[in-house]
Amino acid sequence: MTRPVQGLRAWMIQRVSAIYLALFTLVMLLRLLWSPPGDHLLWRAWLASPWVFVGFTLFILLLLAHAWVGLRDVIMDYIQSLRWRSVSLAVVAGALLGLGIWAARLLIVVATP
Amino acid sequence: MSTPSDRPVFLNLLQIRFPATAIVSIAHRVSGVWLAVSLPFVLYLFDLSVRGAQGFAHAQTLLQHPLGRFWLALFMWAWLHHLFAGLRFLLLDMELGIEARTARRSAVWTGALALVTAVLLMGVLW
Repeated sequence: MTRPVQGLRAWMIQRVSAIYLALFTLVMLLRLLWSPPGDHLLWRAWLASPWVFVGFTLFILLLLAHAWVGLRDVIMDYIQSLRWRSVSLAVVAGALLGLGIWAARLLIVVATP
Repeated sequence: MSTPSDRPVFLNLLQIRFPATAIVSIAHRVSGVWLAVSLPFVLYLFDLSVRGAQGFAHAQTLLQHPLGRFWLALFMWAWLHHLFAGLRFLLLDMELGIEARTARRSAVWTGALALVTAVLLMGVLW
């Protein structure tokens, strides 16, 4: 991306992730409404199936990226003070990273029956 | 951050008039923040559901409780509004429907669609 246009990378990440997130959630919602997994074992088995697992992991990664770009935009819009902006961004980044690590752990649980 | 200027500032939200496009837009932002804030709880439910049959049942119980149902309804509406308003933004990015009258109309339809599908979805999930 060329230098004179600042913010293009974030914008692109937000838009591209949005498309995948929209498609994935819609497909998953329809699938789960059509035939909901009746119990814990069926749920785990479905989550561990190849396409679902890869798609879901990708979903989590892109969701965190999408949430970060969005929340960062909100923080930059409403918090002008450098100190509080830094604090807010740090807290949000930390929270999203923490959620990512927690999600990774759950994915490992799902992947290892 | 920009340097301060002497230009007048008017930010009285109670007096500024908001067209449909503005309302759908701010709702898109609010729903986005709300979804993000809900992530820990959503991940908690997911955690419960994969750890064992007991956890799975517990997650179901939480969602079937009146408060859980209420939360789910709000969550569904937030997600659907964020989704539809977001898709509208993507179209506007491509300059589709960017003329003022079209944009206002699409904003109304988007907001209404989100609300209606949220109600329908909650009806199905109930």
